[in-house]
Amino acid sequence: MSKLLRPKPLAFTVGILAVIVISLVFFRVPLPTILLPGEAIPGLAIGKFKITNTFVATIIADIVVLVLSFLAVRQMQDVPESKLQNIFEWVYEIFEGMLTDIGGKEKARAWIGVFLTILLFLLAANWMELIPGIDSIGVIEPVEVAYAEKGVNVGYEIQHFWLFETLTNKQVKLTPADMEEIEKEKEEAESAGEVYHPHNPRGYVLTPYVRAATTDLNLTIGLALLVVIWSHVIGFRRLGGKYARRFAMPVITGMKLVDIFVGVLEFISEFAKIISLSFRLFGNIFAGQVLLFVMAFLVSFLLPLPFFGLELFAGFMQAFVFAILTFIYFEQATHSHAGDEHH
Amino acid sequence: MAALGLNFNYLLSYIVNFFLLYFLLKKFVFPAISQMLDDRKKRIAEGLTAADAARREAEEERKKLMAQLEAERAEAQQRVAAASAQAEKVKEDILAQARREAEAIKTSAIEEAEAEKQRILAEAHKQIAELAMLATERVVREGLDEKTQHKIIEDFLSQVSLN
Repeated sequence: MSKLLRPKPLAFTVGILAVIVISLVFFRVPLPTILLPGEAIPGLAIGKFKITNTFVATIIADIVVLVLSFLAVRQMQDVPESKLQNIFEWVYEIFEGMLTDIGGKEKARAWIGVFLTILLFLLAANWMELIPGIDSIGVIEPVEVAYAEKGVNVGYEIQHFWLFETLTNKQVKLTPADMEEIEKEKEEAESAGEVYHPHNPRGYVLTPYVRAATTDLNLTIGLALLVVIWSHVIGFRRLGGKYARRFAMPVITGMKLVDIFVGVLEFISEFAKIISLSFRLFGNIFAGQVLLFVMAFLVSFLLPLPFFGLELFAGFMQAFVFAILTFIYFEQATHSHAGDEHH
Repeated sequence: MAALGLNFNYLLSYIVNFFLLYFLLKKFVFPAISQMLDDRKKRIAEGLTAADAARREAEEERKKLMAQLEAERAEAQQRVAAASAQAEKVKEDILAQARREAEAIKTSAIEEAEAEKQRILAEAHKQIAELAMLATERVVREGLDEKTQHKIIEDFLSQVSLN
């Protein structure tokens, strides 16, 4: 206790407490609207294709990865002056070594491209949730519209701040009566051929321009589908018809009945792979994002800090796990289960 | 499905997006990196091999020089040994000769001395005999003839000399 009373630790403790009190009293932030699907940005669409904020994030992630990697290889030097080239070489070498340990030199060389593309893209996509402004800058629209389109029933009051509008932390909850009224008004507007817009909005919600790409199930399921199907293509190309034997009449234990059952399990596990790959990635990043929202909502300063560190780690881990599992699935697809190989 | 936000169009767009990214990276980025790494690895291996060869060559050169030096040293040593042996021999010869000469001188001196002694003795004999004869002649001038006298003195003297 006496240690805490010395000037420095005391000032430190008081400072932290002061920051927490100030953020609790003066800087309260609203809890963002948490929606599972990627949110279409109002007024942004290519034909019928509504551009969602997760799609925008995907494009940004692509650009980041492409720009960085092209800068890294733009002027390759034998004795690298550029740190970027160094980093890319380092990453390439580390993971090539790792893949060689798992699947041997030939397979590592063949699939390191897929591995690194997934890793870099997912890193960029996952870490985007940590950047300020993402998830917090966007289009403000009436809660009624959000309710009519997405079923959002909590809005916030709005305040003008210099040139901008921001949401305050004063919540507006739609009552069942409000909801009924909104539905009626919307029907009226549609029957009249107009776009529904409330005259006197009760509250507002924010649709961010950018939201971490991997918080969209379409992306994670698409990627998972792609790599699982890709692994089957690799299996057929390397083993030919023998590859099908892993699902029908594989020779594993030698006991016919057991092997048939194993084949069925293999078949089911292919679907499990898609589900586990996609939902692990989606779940971790989505949960991380919500965690950051909630922490900022509770205490806007300091408290979210450790969770940013946690999410930095989780973002890397999920990208790495997805990529390494992809490589392992590819690698497994090259093993024959037709019984002519010794395990 | 709609609650999860699943939408086939989005899903497909993400897959296409990934393929495009993969294609671009695979075409332009990864080969460059891998090429660079391979080249550098080869270059380093070559450098190391060359350095190794150079070191081995230098080592060989050094060994050769050392062997040469060793041979020269041995030869010099041999030469010194031979010279010193020769010197020793010369010394021995000189000493032997000197000894021999000394011996000869000594022998000749002894011989000379002996001869001188013999000569002096013989001279002394003769003189003593003459003196004795003279003396005896004086003593027994008439008693004995010269021949007998001589004989007696001779006998006497030979007994004396034998002692």
